[in-house]
Amino acid sequence: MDTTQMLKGVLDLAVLAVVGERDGYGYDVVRRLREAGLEDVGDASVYGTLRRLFQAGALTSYVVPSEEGPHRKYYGLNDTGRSLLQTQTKGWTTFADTMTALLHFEGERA
Amino acid sequence: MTPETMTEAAAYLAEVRTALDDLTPAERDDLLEDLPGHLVEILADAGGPLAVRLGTPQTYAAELRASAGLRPRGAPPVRPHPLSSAAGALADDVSAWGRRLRDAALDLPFGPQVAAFLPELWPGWWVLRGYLAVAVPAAFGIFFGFGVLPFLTLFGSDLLGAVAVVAAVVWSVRLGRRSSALPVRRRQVVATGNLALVLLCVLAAVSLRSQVGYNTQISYAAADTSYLQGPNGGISNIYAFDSLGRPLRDVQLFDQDGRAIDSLLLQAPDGRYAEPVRTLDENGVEVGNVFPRTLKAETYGSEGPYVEEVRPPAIAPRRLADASPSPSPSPSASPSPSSTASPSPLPSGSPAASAAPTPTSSPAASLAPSASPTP
Repeated sequence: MDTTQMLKGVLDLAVLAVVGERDGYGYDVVRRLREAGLEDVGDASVYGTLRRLFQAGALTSYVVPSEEGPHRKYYGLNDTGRSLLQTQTKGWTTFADTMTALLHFEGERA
Repeated sequence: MTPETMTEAAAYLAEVRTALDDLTPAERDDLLEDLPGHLVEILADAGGPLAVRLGTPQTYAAELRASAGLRPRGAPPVRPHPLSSAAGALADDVSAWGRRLRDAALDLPFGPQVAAFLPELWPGWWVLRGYLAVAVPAAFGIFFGFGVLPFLTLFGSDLLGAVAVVAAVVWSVRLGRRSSALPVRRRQVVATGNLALVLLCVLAAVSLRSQVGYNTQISYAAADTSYLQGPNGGISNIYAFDSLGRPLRDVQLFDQDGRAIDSLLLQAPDGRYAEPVRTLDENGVEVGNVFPRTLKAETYGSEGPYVEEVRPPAIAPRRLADASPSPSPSPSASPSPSSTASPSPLPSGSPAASAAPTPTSSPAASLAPSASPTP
């Protein structure tokens, strides 16, 4: 099933959730999203979302120096981001419950 | 990393950069900041050309700017209002200054403990902020006013004022609870608003203080009265008329204890300071209870200050029942040399003023001194 459309709506929440669980750098976040099952997520979308959330003040960022390659920029959640994650999770849960109830009502067994 | 992969990465990066060349340098550099590292990671994973794994540079660029919230290629840039970008720069400066201040404060003794305690006070500040949002306009008299403190009025109404305060407090608390989830710029606006409110409070307190001081002085002066008082305030002059409504001049008045009534308010009806012209008795001693007094007040005219006599008010005395003319009605009958025997006009509003002053046909009419009332 093509989840790209649905994903666009909740990518913010997915990125916040991943970063909230553990600070991560760009590619790390992409990988963890794919491992969680969101195979269709695009690299550029994740990077763009990270930048946008950072500009909005929901993420902190710090650079970890590395000897092998270029330094990695890690992102983490700050208070704003945690608050945002909480709000959006609530919103998502409500929406998912509504959809589930609607589908049940239409006769399909979950 | 092999030289080939480095070349591939560099080429890809260059093409993405080209696809973003319609952005400002700041926007572009911001977007591309993480890309070199990203390309290195991907190439380290091994698995085919970048164009396959990431899509074409152009597709990548489009997806990147879209998810970052930037306009698509070809769309006109939004020119920020110069005022808003100046405000934004100012807000950034204030934020940076605030952060330095906070870091310095944390270094003070007990800094961290105080810092840990401060969040407990936030809800209290929110309530106070709501109240102050109404109290500050009240202090300046804009729409709001002070009722019985701490209650405030809106357009003079206590009820409206109470509703306004409650609404302001509720709004302030809700804003406070939402603040941590707001984007950076909004938070800066809130912080600026808080600062402005505090400054306005200080201003209002200073202005109120000087007003109260003024009022205190005035009321102190007003309380220091030993002059004759009537139901409507101080009395500065007394006008007497006889039973026919004719004006009496040079009347000496005494109170129920036989004391001369001579402590009167030294003020013209319009509030100017006024002094009575002195009246002397036959021995040259000043007499203070002769009425009506002639009051002189300083007035400011077009050519400067001058002294003018306070005009008497319009008076309508009545003719009394069983009226008989008073034994000594005319000013010229007074034996004492009086400097108040001036030719100044008598109350023109008196209908009896035009009455003939000559007493006629009255059985009690007599100019004999023995007929005058005994003091």
